[in-house]
Amino acid sequence: MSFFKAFQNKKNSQNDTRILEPPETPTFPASLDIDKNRVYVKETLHYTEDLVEKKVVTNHNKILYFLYLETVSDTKDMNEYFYRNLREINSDEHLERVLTDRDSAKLLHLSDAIAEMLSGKSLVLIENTHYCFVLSTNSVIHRDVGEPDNEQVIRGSHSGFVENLSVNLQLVRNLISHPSLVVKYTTLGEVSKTKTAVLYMDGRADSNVVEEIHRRLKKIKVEKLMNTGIIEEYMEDNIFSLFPQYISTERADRAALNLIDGRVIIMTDGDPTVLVLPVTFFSFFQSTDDYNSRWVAGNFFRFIRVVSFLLAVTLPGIYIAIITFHFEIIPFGMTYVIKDAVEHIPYPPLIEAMFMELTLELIREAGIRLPTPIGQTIGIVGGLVIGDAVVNAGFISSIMIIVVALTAISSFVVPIHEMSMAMRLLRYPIMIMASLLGFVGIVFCLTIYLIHLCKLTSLGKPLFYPFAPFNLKGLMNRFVRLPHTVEIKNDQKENQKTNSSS
Amino acid sequence: MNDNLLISKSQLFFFIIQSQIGIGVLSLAFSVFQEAEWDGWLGVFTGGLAIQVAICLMYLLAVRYGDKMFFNALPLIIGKIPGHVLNLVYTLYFSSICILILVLYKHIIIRWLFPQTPGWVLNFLLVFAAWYLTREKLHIIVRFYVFVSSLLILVIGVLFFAIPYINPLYILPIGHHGFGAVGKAVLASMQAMLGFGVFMYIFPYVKVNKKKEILLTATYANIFTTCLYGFTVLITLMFFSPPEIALIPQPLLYMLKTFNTPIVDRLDIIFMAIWIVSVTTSLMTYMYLASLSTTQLIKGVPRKKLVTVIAIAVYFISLGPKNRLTIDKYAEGVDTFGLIMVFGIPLLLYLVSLIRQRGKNGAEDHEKSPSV
Repeated sequence: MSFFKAFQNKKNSQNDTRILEPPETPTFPASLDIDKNRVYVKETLHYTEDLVEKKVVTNHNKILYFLYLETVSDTKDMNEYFYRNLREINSDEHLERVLTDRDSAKLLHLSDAIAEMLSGKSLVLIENTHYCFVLSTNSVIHRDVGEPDNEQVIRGSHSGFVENLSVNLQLVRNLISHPSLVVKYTTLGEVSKTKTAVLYMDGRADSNVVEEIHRRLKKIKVEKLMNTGIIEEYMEDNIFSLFPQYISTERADRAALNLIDGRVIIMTDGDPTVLVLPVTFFSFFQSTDDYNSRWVAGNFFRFIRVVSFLLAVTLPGIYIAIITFHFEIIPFGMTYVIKDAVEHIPYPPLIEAMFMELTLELIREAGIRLPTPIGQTIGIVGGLVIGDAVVNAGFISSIMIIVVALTAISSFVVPIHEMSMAMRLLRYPIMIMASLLGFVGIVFCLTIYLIHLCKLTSLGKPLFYPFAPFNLKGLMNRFVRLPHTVEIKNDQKENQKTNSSS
Repeated sequence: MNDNLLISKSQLFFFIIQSQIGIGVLSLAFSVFQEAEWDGWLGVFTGGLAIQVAICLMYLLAVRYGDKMFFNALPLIIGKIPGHVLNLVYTLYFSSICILILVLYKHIIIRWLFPQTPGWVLNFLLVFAAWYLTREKLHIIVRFYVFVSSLLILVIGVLFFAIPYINPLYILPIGHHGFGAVGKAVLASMQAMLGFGVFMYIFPYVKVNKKKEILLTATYANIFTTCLYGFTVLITLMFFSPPEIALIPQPLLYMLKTFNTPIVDRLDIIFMAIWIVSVTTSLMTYMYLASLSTTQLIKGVPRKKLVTVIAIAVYFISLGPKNRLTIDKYAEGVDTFGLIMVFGIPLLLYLVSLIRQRGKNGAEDHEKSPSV
């Protein structure tokens, strides 16, 4: 039975007692005895070898100790000027002023200072005082805010998020300079203690949603490295669904656009992908390009993406159904062409399709992690050589190759990676059902998918909006990319609706 | 009641038409033709009028107990025990329609698409899809209905293929068979149209400003379905000559079979695929209603579990009838049953409620029931 317990939904079990639990390190007030303090710090950090201790004696014979972790601290300018300045100090007031003038904080508990030290700050212990100082000496690893490889656009901003939280926040703040943009910090992860930021625009985002996000964030209790993938699973309404319920993006402009649309963004330190929530099904088919290109073209691309979704999910199934059961449906002109191609194939269409799909998935999986030059080779070997040889050998019909190639291309069209993964998986049940029951099987599968989509919610909001529940104005606003000068007033109504439905 | 669980007027409209349009549309022209030959189409339109009367009657009944669900109000109208008995009868009625839909569906699919496939597989898929949706609350069910209603455009569009080939002379002289035959055709067309009553059972779940809007919505839905059926029958009757149509039980499919386009050769197969969705929605409605009336019988059991029980029961019973005669007899029986349940019983209840005048002081509240 314990096997089944693993599947139980633990998200809902009330577990809010966490706040009352004692902190991991017991509190330790700074003692007047400086040596005791030093020992405490070293003990707590288990005599780690990157802990550096520096002793400075001021002009009025006060002993100061500087403790920091050299691996995460940047102490270059301290070495250059600061120690020299300290040595010339001759009163306690002066000392305090010098310390507060630098970016520092006064702490009464050494245990609090340990956490600060771990994030790169330096601890200052002063002889015969019951407090200590922490100086911000964090060293930050910067990466360029270059365009993310998996979300490139032709026109528009090319800046993407990086691993550093404050840089990411800065990117968003630069795009939206509005006082209602709110940032809320939390620390997640039992071990990693990752700093996480929740961003939303007050007044635009639904307050119920924000509240619910905070409630769910509190429940997160993992001992893994924190990233948005983990948060996403804790946030999902239905973790068994094949459909992604949130968008993750590395693009700053996409995040900003969603913030203005009233969505909430979750960022974690150390992860360039941010989470956008709640979303609707059709957000997965939107690209920031749509809003930058001309509107007719934008609509056309969007239409193409939706068609590509349908193709990628159903095309192999339809082919299998037609070849296995409904060959009557093939029009007269095509009959001989298809007959010639299919007649001498030894395998049933399902095996054919499975073989080709498997080959394709193999090529994709193999190519993903290889450096580009080898990846191209794999593409050529896989695509051209296997495709050609397999038809010549008479294993697979040439029409099947067309179908699989079309499907593969279609599944790359959708701009969000999670959705294209879902599309790959949704295809297989349809293929199997089509081989068993033809069109009836396909219709059955699509019905189930559709019902599932109608049921799905993203943080309590219907995922399949504006199609189910159907809303024409919502459709015009969300699905159709209208010219920017045209505006359909629906905001009032929509806000009411969304407010009531969560 | 929570506002989210309510459905809007337009959702009610689609709920009604999706419940109505289903298994019957394929053989409607054939069954009315059997009664009134080429005057059958008059029967469909007259049937629409008769239904309008029934809708008004049901509305009058439902509005008296406007805040309560119909099945909840039954014991209030005619007393506790008769009310529960009537509830049980309604459950049986809805389940029997589910069974009829499954039996006919299996029959048609085996005949048209898969002569070799065992019927239990076909029925299983249909029941599973219906079960998967009807476990959910009403507002989710109607979401699905509204979305799949877009498929009706294709159903109507397919009819246009027939326009160039119709021969209006086939339906002349109009009214040749007299009122008696047309009257019988009305009854024959009822099988396909019976779903109109669903609005009465979900009356309190519709969000409207005035109760009258529900009546209007039901009327629009009736007009839509009557016109759709009427024109389908009309086109079919003008497409086939009278001696031809007497031979073909699913004239609509036969008609579509003759058309071919450069892309798709057999339109009937595509049509069947779309039609399956309509059948599923009808099945879902009745399964939902059956579970709704059962929640009033067995208090305290969540509706989700009842749906599962009903789905399993309906599935196994539907595997029984195999030969053509049994199915016809069963269909006839359900038709009569249906006429009583949607015309007779509401009329009776209305009269009783008029006499007892207890419309205003109900004790129970539907909010407390675990249904929806």
